[in-house]
Amino acid sequence: MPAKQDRIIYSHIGLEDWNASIDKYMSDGGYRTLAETVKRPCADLCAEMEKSKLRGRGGAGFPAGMKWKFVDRKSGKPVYLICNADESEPGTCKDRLIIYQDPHRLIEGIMCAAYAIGAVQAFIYIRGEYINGYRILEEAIAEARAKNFVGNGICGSSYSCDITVCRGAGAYVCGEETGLISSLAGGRAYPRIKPPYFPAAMGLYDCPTVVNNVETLCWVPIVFEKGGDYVSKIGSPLDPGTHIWGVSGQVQKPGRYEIISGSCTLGELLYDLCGGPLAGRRFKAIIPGGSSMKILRWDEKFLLKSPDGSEREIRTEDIPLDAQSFMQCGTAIGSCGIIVMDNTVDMVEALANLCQFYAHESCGQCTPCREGTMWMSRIIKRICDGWGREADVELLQSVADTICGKTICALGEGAAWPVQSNVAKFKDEYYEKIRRQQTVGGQARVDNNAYRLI
Amino acid sequence: MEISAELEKKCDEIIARYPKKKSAAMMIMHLVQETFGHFDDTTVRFAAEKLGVEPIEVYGMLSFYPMFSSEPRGRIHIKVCRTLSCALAGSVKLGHEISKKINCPVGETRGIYTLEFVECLGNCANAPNVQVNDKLFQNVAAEDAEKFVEKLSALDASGELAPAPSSAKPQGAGDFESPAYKG
Repeated sequence: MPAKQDRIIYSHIGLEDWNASIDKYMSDGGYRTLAETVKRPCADLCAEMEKSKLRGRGGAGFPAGMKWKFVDRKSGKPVYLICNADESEPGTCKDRLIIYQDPHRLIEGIMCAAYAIGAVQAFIYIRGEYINGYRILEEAIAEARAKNFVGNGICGSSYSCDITVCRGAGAYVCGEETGLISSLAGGRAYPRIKPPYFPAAMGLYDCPTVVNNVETLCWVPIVFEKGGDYVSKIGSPLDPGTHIWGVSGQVQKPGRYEIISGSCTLGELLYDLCGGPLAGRRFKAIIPGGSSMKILRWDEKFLLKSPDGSEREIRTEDIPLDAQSFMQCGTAIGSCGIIVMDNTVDMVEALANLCQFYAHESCGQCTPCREGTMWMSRIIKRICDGWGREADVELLQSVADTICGKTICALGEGAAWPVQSNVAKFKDEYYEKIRRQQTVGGQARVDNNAYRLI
Repeated sequence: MEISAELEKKCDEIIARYPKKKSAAMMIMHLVQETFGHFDDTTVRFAAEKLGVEPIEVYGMLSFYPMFSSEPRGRIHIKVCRTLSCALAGSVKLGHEISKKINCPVGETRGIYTLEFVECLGNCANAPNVQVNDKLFQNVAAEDAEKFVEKLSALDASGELAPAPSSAKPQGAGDFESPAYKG
């Protein structure tokens, strides 16, 4: 059966007669769920969210209902809701379209979630580069406020909550929830250590805070309207719902594809929907969930366990598109940004490109990450520039191993995983490159490559 | 740089949206940069005073966030995405081609141009991406660098490239992107 899209979150995206106005959104039943939601008890709504078993769509995949449940309601402090719209993981571009083309879907989601967790104020932290996205959201919020969907006395109830939009300014680490909170509190986006700074207990202004991704919040009205049980039955039982796969890199038709979890395989997505590799080329490797996730060789084989306990051997292209399957293959779906590389790509250059990214984006708080990302970037650049030594391959791995688990936030792992997996899986290419440059001379690679990635 | 009463008023409006003054830091800094183009001692002190913090905190943010700058930048500020998805589509070559055409080294300012490589612009499925002032151009092939630079000159001459403040109304369907995504 060929792969197909099932658009739930993206149901309005790209429609011929669609626009971002509130009238359009309401003509399709928009904000009806919010009006019903504010009549229901908060505890029931949180229970529905938990029943849905939805995982957060920001990258970590933490169950969204659980996150809400952890909110400290006994402290008496105000509760805040933050929508994480700082989409900056390389390869990820799914939230952008929701913000630009269907902002009211997000706003309804935010208001439903805010009511359920009892938030006094909601924030959207949108990345600085989405300038027009910021303007679109501000206009949409003003429209919604005028109709009492945001602000005082929502839909005639006694519940009040406003949304404030804050722009980032180009720092990747703001996508990490505690880093985002530091930035929103006013200052450098330094992540904070957990414990004690679990946002659910000590978030913004040290008050209980829920930070949810744009796509996660868009699911909230669907869960409230149709019930948690209904949503939990869409797709794979352990990772229900749909995923919006942002496919970029070397395929015929890069784009965003919304697919029911587990309903097709990676190969079906890349061949049927994305049109396969570019003419005359073969797939070589993919990064499955944004640049921080471990790379997969196209010719790798894995043992996949079925729910009934039986095991079967599969190839990379047979991996079902859900969180569990990718986890069993030693990587993760992260934020569903697939970066495809074909046989023309020099893997050392590709990794050098990513190492430069992490060296630039490390916030500088933790020594292993600040120094490690910089040294990985320098070492691999040296190899690319034609001055590598054979010992550099081991050295790269040892630097990556030293970062893992020794930093406040996950940026350290995010920088180390690509290095660990890329070097381990393509080791021959590294040695080959170094050997060739030693026989041909220093600048050999610069002449031998069709194009450079750094 | 003169601080106008109008700017003061705009700052107060922004600060009123946040539970704590200091939280408005990002938006105040964006406003100051949009107003003056870059930061200097006077504007840093102004922002600090508005936020009720020491100037060092504003300097700290200024040096942390890549979008804030203490250097004046050209009227046409070109940011070419260099991260993997765009690089695979040829953005590194594109950046160097643009550099040759506008006679401006990457990372520097020459006349009306500032050219730099930046990290992921968040539109990976439409690579390569280039942001110019507040507008995004997608699918800019390296082979089209010359045409792209000509297009920028034309847009600059007609005033369409001038950055609008973030408080402006949304600009059409979204920047200079291709029409709504059909997928």
